[in-house]
Amino acid sequence: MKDKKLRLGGTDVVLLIVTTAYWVLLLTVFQPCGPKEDGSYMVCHWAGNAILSFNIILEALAIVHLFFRKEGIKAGISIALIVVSGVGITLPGGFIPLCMMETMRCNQLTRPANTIFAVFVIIVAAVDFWLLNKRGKE
Amino acid sequence: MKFVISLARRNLKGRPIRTVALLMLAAFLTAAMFGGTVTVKSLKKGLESYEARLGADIIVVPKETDSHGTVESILLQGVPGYFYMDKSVLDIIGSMESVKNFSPQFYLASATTGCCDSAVQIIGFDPESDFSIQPWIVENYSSSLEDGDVIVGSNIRIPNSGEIRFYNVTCNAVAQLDTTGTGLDSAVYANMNTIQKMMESSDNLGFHYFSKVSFDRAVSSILIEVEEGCDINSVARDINLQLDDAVANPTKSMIAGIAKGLLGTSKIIGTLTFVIWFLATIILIVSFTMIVNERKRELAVLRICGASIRTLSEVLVVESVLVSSIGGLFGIVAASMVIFPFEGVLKRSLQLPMLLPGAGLIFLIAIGALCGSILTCGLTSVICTHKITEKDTGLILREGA
Repeated sequence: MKDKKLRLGGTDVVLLIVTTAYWVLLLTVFQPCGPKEDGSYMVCHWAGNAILSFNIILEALAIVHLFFRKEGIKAGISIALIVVSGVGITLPGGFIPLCMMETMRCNQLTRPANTIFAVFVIIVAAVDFWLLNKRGKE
Repeated sequence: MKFVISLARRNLKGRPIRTVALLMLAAFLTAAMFGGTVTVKSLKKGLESYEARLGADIIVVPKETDSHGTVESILLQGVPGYFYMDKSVLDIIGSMESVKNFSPQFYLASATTGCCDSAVQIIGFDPESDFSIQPWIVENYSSSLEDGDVIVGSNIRIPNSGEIRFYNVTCNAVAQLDTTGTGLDSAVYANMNTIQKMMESSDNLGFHYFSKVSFDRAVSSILIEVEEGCDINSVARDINLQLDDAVANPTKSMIAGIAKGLLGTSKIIGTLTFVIWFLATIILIVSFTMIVNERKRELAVLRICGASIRTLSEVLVVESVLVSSIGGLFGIVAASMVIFPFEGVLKRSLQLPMLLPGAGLIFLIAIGALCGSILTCGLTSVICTHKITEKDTGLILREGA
């Protein structure tokens, strides 16, 4: 009989927690600068939206990673997580500019928080990939 | 020794929860030591930088500004502001013999549109008489500052075009100053002609903040350098006797106020670091005692198998050194992830000048914190091991039977 039970590894859970915390905190604590007095948005607003879109992709990948049981597929998703997070780091201040003042919220909170969370995801995904590889060889 | 290390590693692997708990404790201890020391050093460096950048002995500002602490807000926190007094103050100061140099400054605050999405402090200075800003500008820009040129603080990013607009006046950002850790990092410096142009343009754009100010008759502050051998406080007192609407403040008294705040913050951080270290040491002693007590039968079996007391002590010390060094590294990484990326937030919350020390010093602090953690854990385990190895092996084995 085929074993259909969901087997959760440590990295599966950590990946889900980190990616969820990533977008929840981005929407609550680490959001970029608010609208200006005239109601228009600063350039960092669009960077924030782009980060959020990447976070949704990361979250989806983490959920998919949780449900797949084949090591090869899981390893592939881990690589995807590394690539998406890597691109995510370069979004604020790289592909999409942030406000010009270093003292602005987007420069002081959003960008460093985005980098830290993305690095976390990369580390956990890399560990997961290594563990899956090791298990595959055994 | 190879056997000891291998046994210690296997012991740690065999009890993952216990190992993780000890790792977290060591990480917490090292993070507190590293983070606390780096913060205190940054505050000290920030004050030194602020002191050096002020450059003047006395600063003269309008009376109402002095009572509201606006100057400190501008210089320390970078809160943009503007205030003016009559230019006749310059004549009074110029007539005093004890004054060696004096230079006026003109403050403008940019609107939240155009350049920077937030207001920026614009400081106009007279290049001919200035002695406080130009020595710093020379480090980054050797030519003279022409009309329309601006020098920006380290907190303002220069666009690729090199052009920044204030009140519709396009300026060339010719250089960027080094970080000071103060509000001056968020300021823009220009000569008086550029400032005048911005003021006129602001009026045309419908911003009437400066419409009541006559540029030819007003200054915001006057920086004064006193003659050598003269007492700065007495000169400031003499100036105050002659001024009605302005106040002369010795910059040392401004710095003394910040230094007092810094001392208080440093003391709190130092005390907290010590308390955390003390508590962590107590917790480590209790944990190691409990662990060694829990493992006394295991150690007794090893003794029966021929392991000497020295070998057992070595195994336990190696275990604690491994845990403290790995945990310590984690602690340093965790503290670094808070202090370095969020330095700006920390500076804003403390409301004190803050400038991170150089990479070399940070590395030394990290090594010191790591050694402190290893030493604390190592010594704690030595004390606990000594107690258990004093007992008779046979007695230990009979106790648990």
